Amino acid sequence: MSNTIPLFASDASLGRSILTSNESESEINENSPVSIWTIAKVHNIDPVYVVETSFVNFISHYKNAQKEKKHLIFGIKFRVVSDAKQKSEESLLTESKIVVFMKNSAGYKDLVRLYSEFHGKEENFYYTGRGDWATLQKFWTDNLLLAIDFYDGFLASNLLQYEHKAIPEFGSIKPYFFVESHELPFDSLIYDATKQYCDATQDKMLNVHSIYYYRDSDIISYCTFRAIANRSSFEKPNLNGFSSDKFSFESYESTK
Amino acid sequence: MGFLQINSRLRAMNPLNNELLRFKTEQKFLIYDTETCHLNTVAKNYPWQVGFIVCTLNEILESHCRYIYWDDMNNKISEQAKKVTHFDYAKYAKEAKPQREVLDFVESYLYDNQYVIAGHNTHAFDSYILSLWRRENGLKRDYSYLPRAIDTNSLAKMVKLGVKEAPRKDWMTLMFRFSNFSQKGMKTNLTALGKEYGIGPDLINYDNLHDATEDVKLNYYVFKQLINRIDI
Repeated sequence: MSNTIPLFASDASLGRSILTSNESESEINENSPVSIWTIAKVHNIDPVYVVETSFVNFISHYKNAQKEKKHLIFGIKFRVVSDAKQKSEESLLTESKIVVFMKNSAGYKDLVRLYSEFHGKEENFYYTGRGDWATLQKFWTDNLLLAIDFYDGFLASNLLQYEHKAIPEFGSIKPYFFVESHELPFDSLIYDATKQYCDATQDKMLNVHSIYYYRDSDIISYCTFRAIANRSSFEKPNLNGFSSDKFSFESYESTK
Repeated sequence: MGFLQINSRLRAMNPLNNELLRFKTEQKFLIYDTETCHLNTVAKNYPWQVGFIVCTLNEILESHCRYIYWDDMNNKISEQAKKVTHFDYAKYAKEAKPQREVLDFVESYLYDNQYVIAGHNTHAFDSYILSLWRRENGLKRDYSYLPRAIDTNSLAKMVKLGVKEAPRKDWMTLMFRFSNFSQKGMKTNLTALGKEYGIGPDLINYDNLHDATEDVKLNYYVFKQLINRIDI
C-alpha cells in the first residue's frame, strides 16, 4: 500500500491505545511505554496524524509538535446516531463512527464546539457521549474535515452487523472514506463496500493505518490492556474480531 | 415482493434446483473443529487437537483426528480449558504429532477447492486459530478458503431469525454478520442444536462433546438439518 497515512492514537483514547503523548526520547525504549513523539522523532514522521476519542492529550501533542517542529494534524473520533436524544437499544443500531479533523488553527475552536455538543450534553449521553448527523451539520464549518471510520463506519457496521441501519446525513459536507488493511479476514469485504459506495458517490478514499502499539510483538501487552478495559481476561478477551497484531507502527512501516 | 424476488423463491422451491446444497449429493464437505489452550484469538493460543471429516450428505468418507505437539503444553493450556475439554495429558503426550506435520496435513484439505468447508463458530474462533498456527510457523495469514466456508453457528442463528436464503456470493459477509450476533434466549451451541433437531445418543455420545472428533460428528448431523431449513 503506497501513500498510506499513519493514524496514531494515544492512551487518551481510553481502552484503545498503549502509546503515550509523552515528550520524545532519543530512542525507543522497549521496556517502557512508547510515545507517539518518540516514534515520530526516530522514524522522521512529519506531519503527525493523531486521532483520539477525547481532547485529554491534545495540549501535550500540541506542545510536542511545536518542540519537535513537526506538523500536528489532530482529529477526534465520534459516535454518531440518527437521533442522539433517543435513548434506546434501537438507537444503538443507527450508530457509526466518524473522525473530524481540524484543518487549521481556527478549526480548533470549531472542533471543541462540536466536541462539547457531542460529549457535554446529558441528553445525548447513552452509555457514552454521542451526537447525531443533524448536530454535525449544524456545527460544521469549512475549518473541519470529515472522514468515515473503516471498521466502525456506517458501511462496515451495516455490512457486518445484523439489522444495523446507520444512515448518514452529510448535507453539504464532503466526507473522505478511510481504507485500512490489517490482515483481518473481513478487510476485503469492507473495502469492496467502500469502493462500491465511493464509485457511486465520487467521494474520495484515503489509505490509512491505525496505530495503537509500536511492534507487532506488543500485541501481548495490548491484548492484556484491552482485556482489562473490557473487564475480561487475556485467556478470554471477549473482543469480537480481535485477531490481528497489525495495528502496530512496525506493520505500517512494512506497507511502505 | 418484486419479480426478481418471486423468481428467486420459485427457483429455491424447485426440487430440481441443484444450486442448493441440500440437493448436491456429490458435493464433498470438510467439517472441522479445533481444541485450544484458551479463547484468545490473537496471541499465545495453540490448537492441541484438530478433528475433521470429509463427507457428502449421504456418508462420511474420511475421519481424521490429530493431537498436535507443542512444547510445554501442560503449562500452555488453561485450567478451565483442561476441564471443559477433558484434556488428558498422558494421552496427548503419547499421540501428539509434530505440529508442522499436522498443519501441512490439515491445509492439504483446507485449501483444496473441491471442498465446502464447515465448522461451528469458525468465523469467530477456529479460523483465527488456524491463522495463529500458521503464524507460529512463520507463514502469513491466509483466509482464502473463507469464501467457500460456512459457520454453522451463524447459519443456525440465521435459521432461528427467519432468514430465508444465503446465496453463495454472500456467504462470507453473512457468516461474519451473524457470527457475533447474540440474542437473549437464543441457543445455538452444538449440544442445544443436536437436541433440538433430535440427534439422538445412537448417533452421538453427548458425554464426549468438546472432543474435536465427537464435535465434528455432531456438527455433521446438525449441518444436514440446517441446510434443509434455509436456502443455501
